Amino acid sequence: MANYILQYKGSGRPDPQAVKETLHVCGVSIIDGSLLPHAALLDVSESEVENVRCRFEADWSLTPEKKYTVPDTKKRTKE
Amino acid sequence: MAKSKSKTGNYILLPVTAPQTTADTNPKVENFLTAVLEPAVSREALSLKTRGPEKSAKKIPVKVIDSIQDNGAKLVQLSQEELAEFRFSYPGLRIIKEKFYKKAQVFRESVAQKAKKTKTTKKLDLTVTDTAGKPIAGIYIVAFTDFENRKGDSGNTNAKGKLSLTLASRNIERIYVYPEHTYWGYYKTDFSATSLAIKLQKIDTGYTDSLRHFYDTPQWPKITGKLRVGIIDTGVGPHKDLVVSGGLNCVANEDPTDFKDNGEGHGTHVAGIVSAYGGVYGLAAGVEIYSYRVFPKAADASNFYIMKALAQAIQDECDIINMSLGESETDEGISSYIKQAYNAGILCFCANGNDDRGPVSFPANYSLSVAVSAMGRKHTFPKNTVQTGIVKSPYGTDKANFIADFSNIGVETDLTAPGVGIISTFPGDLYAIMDGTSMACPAAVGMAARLLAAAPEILALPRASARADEMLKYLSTKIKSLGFGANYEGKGMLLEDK
Repeated sequence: MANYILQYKGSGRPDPQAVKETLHVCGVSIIDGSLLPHAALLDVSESEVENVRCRFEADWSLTPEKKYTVPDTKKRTKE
Repeated sequence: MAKSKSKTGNYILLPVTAPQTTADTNPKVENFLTAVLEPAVSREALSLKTRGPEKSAKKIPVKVIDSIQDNGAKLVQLSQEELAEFRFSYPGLRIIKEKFYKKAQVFRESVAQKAKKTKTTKKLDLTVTDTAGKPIAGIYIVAFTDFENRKGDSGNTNAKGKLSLTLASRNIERIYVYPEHTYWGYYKTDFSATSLAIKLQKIDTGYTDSLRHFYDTPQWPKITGKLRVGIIDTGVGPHKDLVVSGGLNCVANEDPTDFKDNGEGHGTHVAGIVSAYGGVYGLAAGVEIYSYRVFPKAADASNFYIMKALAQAIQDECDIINMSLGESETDEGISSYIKQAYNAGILCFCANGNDDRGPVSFPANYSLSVAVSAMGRKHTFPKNTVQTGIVKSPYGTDKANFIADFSNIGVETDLTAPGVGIISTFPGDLYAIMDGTSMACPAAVGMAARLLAAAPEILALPRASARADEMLKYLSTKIKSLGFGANYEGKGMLLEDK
């Protein structure tokens, strides 16, 4: 399982209930739904990624969660 | 010696909200695209006036190469040197560098030469104390015998202030000592030793660092107008010099109301540069600080947390957002929220990144961000401190000014600001020295906030992209070049009218 971000790219407001139902059908759990219905952080297994993409179609994107580090300027040795 | 003119480049100009202008587009932007640029397609270069006082207004030659629609994208050619000037004089447009894509090719990785194991026989015994001889624990030290290849050893001092490093040679090229707070660091080059006693100098909060050299913050009055700055970072405070008016912890499975610093101190240092008042003084004391925590303790921030923070900052009606964070890869999710912020009349200032003169990081390189590089000034830090190792050309018109060796650079740079040896707040009512474009970014934010607080007519505009356009235009009249060249400083540094 890995974290993915589902994001709405279309215009207007998507139906939150329809979004939740589609995710339920895909068997995907919502880690953080605070930005629904426009975006959500999901826990998706690799085998389910394409299925989720297909079900949400062109107005939606499903991209892997990325990580950002606290920036600093300390010099470091190579590991 | 006069700097040679930089090359021209091709850039795509787009309205902020869509590929063409819409009913929501600032009428000035629509007029610029349709009535100024469109008739000039394929003709001689236009001469566009820069924003600023009439007597100092300059002309920017712009050639309009192509257009997709009357009210849509334009491909223009202009000097890299004048790109930042153009951006500030004609805001409300996304400016995207023209890119060329190659056919997809299979990339074959080759095996890198394996490094030989070095016989580690030489020890370097270090002792770190304060100037009174009291041992200091937990100080991170790194020593290099071959700096170019980053060969060396590192560690933290123990309770007795001691650390033993194992090195390939007793000839040390560079040693860096990094205290987390309370003290200045230490730096020494090219010496041979088996032991070294290092005395660290305590921070004097009245010291004139590079920030206070350019901005006499202790003498500045508090801002009384209402202006809200969002800090997307490790959290802010608590600190006696800071007031946090609101915010959100955006980290999953953490208390959303706990938006104080996660203990790493980065966000508290950033916030102090903007608004500290008491022991040290920020540039815009009196503005409201909203803290959006996206970094879990000792872990990385998710792009989703950053999206969430931007969404909340828009909802909270911040005026400026500080993002002292970045990565090399672009992220569509974060870009879409920065765009949404701009369309809500909010400016996002972003740090250029600290990859030793690498390309400008994302989100600073996003067309609607204000990208900030870091500069420093000689003699604004004590001798033998880490900051002496950061001095590197180019130097400015004033030869004491320099662009920090770590600062990322590139055509996306909008501004420069002090980011070397900056004294600011640290959790637990402490003070710390930090370096980075992370520090330069809030310096630019603080100055922008102070300047905008004096322009209530702009802040009173409806919260739409035209408000952000006007904020940028107003700020553009307060920027002065320090003579580093546009790739390093964009249009220059925000400074007070004198």
